[in-house]
Amino acid sequence: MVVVKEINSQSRLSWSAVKEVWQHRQLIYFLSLRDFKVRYKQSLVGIGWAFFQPAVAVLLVSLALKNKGLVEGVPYPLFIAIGFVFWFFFSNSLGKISNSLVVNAGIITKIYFPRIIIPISGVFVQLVDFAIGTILVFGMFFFYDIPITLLGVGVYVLMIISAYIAVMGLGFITSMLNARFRDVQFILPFIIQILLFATPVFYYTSNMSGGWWSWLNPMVPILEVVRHGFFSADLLTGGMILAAFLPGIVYFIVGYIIFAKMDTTIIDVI
Amino acid sequence: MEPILEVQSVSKKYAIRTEGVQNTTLRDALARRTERVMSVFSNKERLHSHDFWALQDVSFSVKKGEALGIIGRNGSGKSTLLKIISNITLPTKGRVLLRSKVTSLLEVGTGFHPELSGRENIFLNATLLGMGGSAIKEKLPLIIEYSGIGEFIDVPVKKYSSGMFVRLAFSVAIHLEPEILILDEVLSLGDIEFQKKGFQTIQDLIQKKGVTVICVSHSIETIKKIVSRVILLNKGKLIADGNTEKVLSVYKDLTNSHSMI
Repeated sequence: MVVVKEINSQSRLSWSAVKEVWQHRQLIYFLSLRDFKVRYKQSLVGIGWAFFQPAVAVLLVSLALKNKGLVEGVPYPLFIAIGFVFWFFFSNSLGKISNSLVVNAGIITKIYFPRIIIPISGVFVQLVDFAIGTILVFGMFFFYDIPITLLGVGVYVLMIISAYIAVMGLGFITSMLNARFRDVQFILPFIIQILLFATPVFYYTSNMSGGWWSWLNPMVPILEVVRHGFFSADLLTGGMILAAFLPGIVYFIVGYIIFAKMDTTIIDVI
Repeated sequence: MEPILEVQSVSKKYAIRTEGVQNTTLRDALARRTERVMSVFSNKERLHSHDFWALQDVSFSVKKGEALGIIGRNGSGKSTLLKIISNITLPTKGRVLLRSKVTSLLEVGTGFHPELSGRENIFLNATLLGMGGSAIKEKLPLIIEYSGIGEFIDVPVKKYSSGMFVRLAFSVAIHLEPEILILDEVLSLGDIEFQKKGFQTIQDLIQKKGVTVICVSHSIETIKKIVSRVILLNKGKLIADGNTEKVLSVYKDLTNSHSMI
C-alpha cells in the first residue's frame, strides 16, 4: 500500500495542499449554498437589503451635495451608483470574510479540510447581493436614457472578477489575523469604513492626488476602468484593464502564503 | 502487510500563557502586543509563556481491519492524538503516515445548521466529512431510513429534539463507507434502543466490512464491546499497548494508585 498522506509539522505548506483545495471544490459549493439559503430563506428581507443599501447611499449623497450636475457628461447619481455597488461588494465581503474563520471555528476544530475553503466560500453570497445591486445600476441607465454598451457590460463583469480576487486575497490575511488576535475585530470595521474616503466612489478619479499609494487600494483602478467602459470608451486601453487586476493578484498570492503559514498553528489558538 | 496507519515519534507542544502577568499601562500592553505580532513572523519563542507537552514521543501502528481503543485519564493526550491523526492540528515533532483515507467523528453533527432542513444538513455534513455529491444522493434514502426521522426530514433542524438531531447526525456518519473510522466519545446516542443499533452497526463495520476503527472512550464497557487492542496514555506518554484485558488492568492499577495519593 502507498502512503496517501503524511502529516508532519510542515505539511500545510506543500504543493499538494494547493491541489487539495481543488479536490474539495464541491465543499465550496455546499458552504456557499448554505450561506445563500440561510440568508435568503426566511423572507424577502435579504434581497430587499441588497437593493436598499446602495439605493439609500446614492439617494443620500445625491441629496446632500449641491452643484452635482454632470460629472464629465454623466448624471451624478448614476456615477456614484456604480461606485457604491462595487464598494458595498468590497466592504461587505471583506467584513464577512474576516470573521469567517472565527464564525466557523466549531467546524474547523472538528473536521479536516483545507481551511482556505472557509474564506473562499464566504464571498459567494456577496456576489448575489452585487447582482441585485446591478439591477439598480442598470435601472438607472434606463431612467437617464443612457445606452448600455456591450463594452461597458464586459468591463463591468471583468472588474467584479478583479474585485473578487482582491477581496479574497485581503480576506485570507484578515481572517487569519482575526482568528489569531481578538482585537482585530474592533480595528478592522473602522479601517474598512475609513477606506471609503480613499476610494473614488463619490468623486472622480481625476480628483485624487495620485501617487504610488493609490495602487494599494485595489478599488481605485477597478472603478476607473468600469466608468471608462460605460462612459468614455475611447480613453480605455487593454493595459488599463490588465493593470486593474494587478493589485488584486498580488494580494491574492501574498494572502495565500500568509494564510498557509499561519494555518500550521491557528487551530491551537483559535 | 504494511500497517494502514503509522504514528512515528509524535510529540505536540502547546504554549501556555502565564497567568498573573498584567498589562498595567497602555504602553506595556502595546509593547507586549508588538512582541506578540512579531513572534508570528519570526519563530521566536513568545515571552511570558511556558511549554506544555501534550504528547511525547508516541509511536504505534494499526493494521487494516484492526479495532484500536485509546484510553487514559483526563488530560492524558487522547484527544490531541486523535486531532493529529485526523490532520486537524499538526504535530510539533514526528509524523503520521496514512495509507488510506481517514473519516473522523470527533463530534456528532459538526456543521449542522439550525435553519436548514434535515435533508439539506445531510448534504452539508456529508460533504464536510468527505463524501461526493453523487454518493450522497445514492445514500440519501438509506440515511433517512436509518435515522428514523421520517417526515421531519424537510423540517429545519432547530425544531428537532436533541435525540432526533443525534440520530440524524450519526446516520450520516456511518453511511460514509470509511476505511479508517475515528470515534471520539460519540457513542452516547439518545435512547437505549438507538444506542444498541449504533453499537451493532459499528461492530458490523469492523467484523463484516473490515473497517479499521480507532476509538476513544471513558466507558470501559464501550471499549470492551468494540475493540480488541488498547493503548494507554498517561501524561502524554504511551505506557501500555496490547490486548484489551491486559491494558485495562494496567489502567485500573494506574487509577487506583492515583486515588490513593
